[in-house]
Amino acid sequence: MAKKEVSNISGVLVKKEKEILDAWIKAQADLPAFQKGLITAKQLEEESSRFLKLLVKAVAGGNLEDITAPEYDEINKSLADLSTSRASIGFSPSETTNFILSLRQIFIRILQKEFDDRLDTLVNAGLVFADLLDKLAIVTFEAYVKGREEVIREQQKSMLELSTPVIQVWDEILILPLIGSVDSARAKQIMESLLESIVTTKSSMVIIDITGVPAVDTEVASRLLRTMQAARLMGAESILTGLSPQISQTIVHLGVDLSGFVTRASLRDGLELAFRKLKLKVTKAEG
Amino acid sequence: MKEVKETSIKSSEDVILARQVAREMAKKLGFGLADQTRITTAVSELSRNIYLYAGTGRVVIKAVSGDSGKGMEIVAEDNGPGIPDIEMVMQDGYSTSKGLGQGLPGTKRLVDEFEIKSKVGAGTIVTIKKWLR
Amino acid sequence: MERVPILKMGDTLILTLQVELHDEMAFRLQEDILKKIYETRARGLVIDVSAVNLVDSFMGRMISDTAVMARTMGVESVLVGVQPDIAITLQEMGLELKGVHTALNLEKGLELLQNMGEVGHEGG
Repeated sequence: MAKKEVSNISGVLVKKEKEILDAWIKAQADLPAFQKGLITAKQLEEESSRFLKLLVKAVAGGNLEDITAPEYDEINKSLADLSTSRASIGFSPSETTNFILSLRQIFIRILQKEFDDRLDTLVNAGLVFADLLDKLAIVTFEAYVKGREEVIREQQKSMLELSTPVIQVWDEILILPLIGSVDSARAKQIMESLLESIVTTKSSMVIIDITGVPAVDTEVASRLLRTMQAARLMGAESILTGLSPQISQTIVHLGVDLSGFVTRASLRDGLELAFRKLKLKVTKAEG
Repeated sequence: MKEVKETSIKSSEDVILARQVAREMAKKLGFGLADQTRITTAVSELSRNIYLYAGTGRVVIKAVSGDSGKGMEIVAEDNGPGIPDIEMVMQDGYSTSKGLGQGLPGTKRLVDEFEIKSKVGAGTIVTIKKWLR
Repeated sequence: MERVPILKMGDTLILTLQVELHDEMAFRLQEDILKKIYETRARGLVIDVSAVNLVDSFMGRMISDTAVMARTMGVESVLVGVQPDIAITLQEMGLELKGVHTALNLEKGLELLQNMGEVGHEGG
């Protein structure tokens, strides 16, 4: 790359910073992301102005190519933070990358005005700058994806918590009604919330009901067994219920070993057993 | 975070010391209680192995970051007799001293990454990692 | 060397682990318990770990061995106060603590020993 173009670009950026900023903010304000009201005008101004300042600082040394160089550390980090936060407030991928891409058009228009008499300088400078912004756009996009992944992980976590309620049905008796598949992340969640509940409710019986679990294979059975073993270590006994004829058939056909479990066909039977073990009796009131 | 803590292991009291260091760092990094206990227990197993089988060695605990985010790395190193058959000691129920059968395979199940290198007559290095998630 | 006190309540011995035990202390404690069982002719042993923040394979093995040894002397043992994080760790390590009964807390542990005692009398 010719030195001249570099100094031209840096020069134009510094000289026209205010003009670029105003035009850029205006362009962004017309984009759908801003129209949706996800960020305020003030935020947009602050973010754009901060970015442009950092960009001016980064290119000052004449490096417009290698964005892994230390002078780009600050801008990369700020860009990544911005994208991550935009991902979490609901910006789409294109809306997020538009932050950078919209700047490209603005700057090229400014360059056109500056160099309208020198076509080769214009073309070269335009290419160099477009290339730089593309690289920064990739940084933005990568950070965006990471941010979304974070959001998804958080949602999965809260869904897991929602989907494993532990209910105290009687003094010392907990019921864990499982609905849906029991994968390893969920099994971990089940174990932790069940054991916590044993402590808080001072329970000594746990009924795990698998009526709503579509497929009970060897892996699921061993996850449940591990949960019951951990509960036993804390002094609570477990009963596995919801072994409908269909589930029983599947289990036996699959060769799943349930010999380590106390099992009952229905939740009702399990509850009855738990009452009996705690020496409780349910009787009809007289009269 | 560039935090590295080294504990030299010479006696069973040092096992407790290494545990305290591990618990403290796990807590500081934001691990939940269950993970704190997993990490501390793993450190206890590894440092006890050093003191039982090699006599002396060291446990280096540090905060790391990688593709899976932030985490903790523990390296337990000794210049002891080494392990002739790693595959065998990694089997459940195997033990050579004082009936501590679950030591290494149990430790492996507590962490996300487990690596063991050993050379007979030269020593053993066990590296474990646990990621925050 | 520091020693862990063993309390006697009726015909039950109660051991509350509070300090972090290093291995020699644990071995010493095991000896102390068995001696005390022999001397006091206790019928039950409660090991309370509610104040302990870690049970590794060594401690687990120690508890389990002590319970089996105590049983040969006619004493049933109940482990109480295992916290969730410790239960999870023990389970994942594959330490089932065979030979030990478990109960949520000291009160329930004593209750369990009481019930076992009654069943024992009916049988004999």
